[in-house]
Amino acid sequence: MSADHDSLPAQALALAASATCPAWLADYRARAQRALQDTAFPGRKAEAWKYTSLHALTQSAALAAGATVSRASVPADDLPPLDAWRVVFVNGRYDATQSSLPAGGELIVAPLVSLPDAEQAHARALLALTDTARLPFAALNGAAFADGLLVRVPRGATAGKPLHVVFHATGDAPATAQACLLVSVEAQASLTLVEQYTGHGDNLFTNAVTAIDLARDARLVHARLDFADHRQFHVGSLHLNLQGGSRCDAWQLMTGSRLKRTDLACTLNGAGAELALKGAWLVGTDEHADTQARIDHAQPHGTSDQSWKGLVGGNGKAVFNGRIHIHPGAKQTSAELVNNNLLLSADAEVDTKPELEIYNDDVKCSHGATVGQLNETGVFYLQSRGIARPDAELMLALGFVNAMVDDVPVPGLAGWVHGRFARWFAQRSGRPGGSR
Amino acid sequence: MLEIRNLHANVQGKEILKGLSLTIGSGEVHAIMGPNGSGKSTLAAVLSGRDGYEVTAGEILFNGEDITGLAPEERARKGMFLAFQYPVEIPGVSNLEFLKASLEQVRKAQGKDVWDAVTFMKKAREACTKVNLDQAFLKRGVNEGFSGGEKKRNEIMQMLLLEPALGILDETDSGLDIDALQVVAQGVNSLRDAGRSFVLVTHYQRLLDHIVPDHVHVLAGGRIVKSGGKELALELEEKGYGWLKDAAAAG
Ligand SMILES: Nc1ncnc2c1ncn2[C@@H]1O[C@H](COP(=O)(O)OP(=O)(O)O)[C@@H](O)[C@H]1O
Ligand SMILES: [Mg+2]
Repeated sequence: MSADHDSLPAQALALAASATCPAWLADYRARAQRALQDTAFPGRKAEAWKYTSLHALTQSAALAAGATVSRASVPADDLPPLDAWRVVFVNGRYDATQSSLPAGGELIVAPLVSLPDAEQAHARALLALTDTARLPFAALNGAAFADGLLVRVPRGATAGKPLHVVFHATGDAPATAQACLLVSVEAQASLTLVEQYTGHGDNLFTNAVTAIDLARDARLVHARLDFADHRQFHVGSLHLNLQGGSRCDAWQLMTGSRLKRTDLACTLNGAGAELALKGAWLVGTDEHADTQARIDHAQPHGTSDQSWKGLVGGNGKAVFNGRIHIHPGAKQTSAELVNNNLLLSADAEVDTKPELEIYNDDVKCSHGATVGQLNETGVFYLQSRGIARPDAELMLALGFVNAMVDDVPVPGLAGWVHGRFARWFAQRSGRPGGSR
Repeated sequence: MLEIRNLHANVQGKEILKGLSLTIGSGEVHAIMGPNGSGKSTLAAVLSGRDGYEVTAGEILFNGEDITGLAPEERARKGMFLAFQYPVEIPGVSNLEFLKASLEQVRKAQGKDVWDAVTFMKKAREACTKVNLDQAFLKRGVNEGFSGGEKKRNEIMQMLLLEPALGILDETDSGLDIDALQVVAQGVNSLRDAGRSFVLVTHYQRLLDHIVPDHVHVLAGGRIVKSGGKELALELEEKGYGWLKDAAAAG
């Protein structure tokens, strides 16, 4: 156990050593490599990794090699039908053939390897938001990424269409791909972003970093989707910086996999910033999903409103930690967090923990978590209308999570996600209700 | 239509129905009245086959067939319908999606043609109009955030679409204002015909002014302690149940 854990830093460093990157990123790369050397990869004793083992990853040989496949088309079935600009990365490398970039000045989208000089400072500023000291996998990403994407909406501009960024993991051999997405929405600008992880195949590890900065009064709608193959590994972190008066409406939607770990680090860094976050995880047989949401209220008059739902079946295991930290200066903060979970089997497991740290008394704050089972009265109600029990259970369970995406303001997305949830129920939940 | 013979039923190991017998002919409307906690909702649940309601003795014949072993959905497909005393909220499942699934299953089982999308929408809208429910309710989650009266009207709306052979209405009149009460009564009356029967569980005579029953029964202590015509309801309104409880205890 300890032997394979000890091999993790060595594997990560070897991977980093073989990576190449554009010269203008050399400084950041060097810093990330130092961070990687200095930070210990977490063992089970580390509180933040208490319920998530890296054992399967270290045993998989995925970390031993960077992905070599860089051409593969993303199956149409994996993509929601959106009227959007689309950018596709295959195993961490930009694929122009599957991408359609906007030409106008209201939305700048460029791969890091061919980033115009004028944009490099923006990318560096966004990379500085990533917490490589605290998150070893973010350090690994910085030390090893081959490419990434910069997205920038200039001051006052409104992106005319949503932007859909797809990171696709595929291949036959065990391999690791780094995904890096950097987003800057400047003052009074507005963007709708769909960030999606797709993939097929065993033993592939996607290590993702997303850094987003919302300048004063900026607006962002952000949906992060991860319905990749359940046999894959995914570790991702989202670093979100909200300046004064900005607002982010975010959705985190995922199914479980052999190892899935998502760290959200959101900082309300200016007065009156607003964050509305909804999330759902569906975790089934031999699946795992660990979500760590950390919200820092650093400035006054901020609002954060989080609602998370979990559907856990088979022998699946979901972990959630929702930490809200309200700093001394963050007067008149309003922070809410709810997490409701539905267990579909006796073997399913949820470990959920809200944590509040409040350092001033001028706040409105509430949090709560529940873990329950399907409502038998609801099942009976549907049965009494002629719907068989397995179908009744399916309707109730899917209704529970479907409600989380009904209000996503991206045409075509909610219905597609509902379909994905239904597919998960049929194939992964361990329940018989998938026939409909 | 329905014949209940010496029915005994337990809930969580406690006997609630203690030898209940009742015969309902085709085309008849029966009212069941009785004090709180006397077992009316339990009877409705047992008739619809709810899990956890255990029949320990007796039988329930529906059109001559013993249905005590059937699941709720099988009974529904044979034409039974229960309007719930407390309709259940199903978040995230729209009324439309729910009605469509329900109608498909029930109509298919009954050998009726399954409505295409256009016919279904038309029928659903008509049913809404009949119970004075805005069509926006079709898109909302089932009973989600509906007021008490809206939930009851939603039950009747479903009944109008499902056209059951036997409708069991559990206190559908409770908490309704007079307009809503009339909507419910019109809904039931519009379905009344020689092949269709109703069981109305109610506390109040006033519903029976609008839906005139053929028979009125008093359920107390888990069995029928008195039966009569519609005038019995008036008598109960006047005298309460006290004079009958003694009869129940003695019986
Ligand atoms: N699910 C249940 N668990 C335990 N007791 C129940 C349950 N349902 C009903 N009962 C009991 O059965 C009795 C009859 O209840 P009910 O049928 O609801 O009466 P009514 O509808 O006539 O008011 C009451 O004593 C009630 O407490
Ligand atoms: Mg009752």
